[in-house]
Amino acid sequence: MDELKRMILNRVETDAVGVDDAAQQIREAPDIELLRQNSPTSLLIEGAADAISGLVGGLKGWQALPTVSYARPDVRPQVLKTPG
Amino acid sequence: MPNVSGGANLIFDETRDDAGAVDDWGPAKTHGEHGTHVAGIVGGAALAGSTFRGVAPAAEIRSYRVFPNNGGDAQNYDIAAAIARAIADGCHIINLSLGGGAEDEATRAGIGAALDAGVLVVAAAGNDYRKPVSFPAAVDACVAVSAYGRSGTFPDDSVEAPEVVRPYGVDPKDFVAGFSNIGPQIDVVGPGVGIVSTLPEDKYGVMSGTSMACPAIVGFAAYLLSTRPELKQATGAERARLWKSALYGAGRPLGFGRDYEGSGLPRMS
Repeated sequence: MDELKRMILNRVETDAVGVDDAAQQIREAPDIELLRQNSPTSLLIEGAADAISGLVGGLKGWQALPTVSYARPDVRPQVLKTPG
Repeated sequence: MPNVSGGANLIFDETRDDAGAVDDWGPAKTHGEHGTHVAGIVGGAALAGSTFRGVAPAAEIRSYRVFPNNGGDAQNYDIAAAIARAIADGCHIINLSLGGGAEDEATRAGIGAALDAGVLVVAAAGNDYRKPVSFPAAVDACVAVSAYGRSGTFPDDSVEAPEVVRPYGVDPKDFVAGFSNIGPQIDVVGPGVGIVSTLPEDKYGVMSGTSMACPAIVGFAAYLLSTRPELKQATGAERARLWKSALYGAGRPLGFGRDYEGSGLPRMS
């Protein structure tokens, strides 16, 4: 079984199908899961690489982008010496 | 929170089952100090009995949480989604006190869309002790902010003391924070050492970082927008261009050099 990849689908053309329509197509796709839909311009999906490539190929004006994590900003220590 | 004005929350799906997180505009349950401190620097309101206030206390602040409510890393999907939602909501400025991950196209695209919409994106340079400016501050579209401090504004035996390193400014009390990243992408410098601001549960406390310098510049950018009619009248990428020009034009070099301070510390003329 192919390894699942998590990808961002980003709407890049103004005449591309809207987010809701794209989300519906993903829900109907057999091998791709829609993980999040809370942006007016992008969707978070998971699936095999081949399935994602096929999906993006049919979504004119959309592109697939890799996911990246950001570490929580360092909350620097606030006190060096304690009273007393 | 009574000590930070304005506010509308945007909570992602991960917190929808947490009624408190959905209903309250407030800090994340875990590690909420950082965002609360940043918000207070931008728009903390003066309360009775307190002399504290943010740089732009009349600004309305919206919180777009990208770090999970229960702690952990942020995903670039959430960062890009937050930027897109902020644009759609009509926000004027986006503060990004985050960074350091691998360069990612989704966040870059979001920042580009913000610029095209006339939204100013201000980002912290990073706290990696003189390493290159981190992503996304290094993106041309962002206003990249380094951090400086001033001796005498914190105790000599505080955790801030080791950050007092060269280069010093024309006024030798001024210094570029030892932790601050630097490089040719730096646009302006802001105060980021020993900064007092808001904390959860109506408290106040001290933090240091380019995360603190960034919202100080955001507050100043809000001041510019409120006082420069040409910025209000302009739209789209032209407004972002004029806004950046006004911000950099207000910069007063402290004597550190361009790679450390860009055009300097923005000040009212």
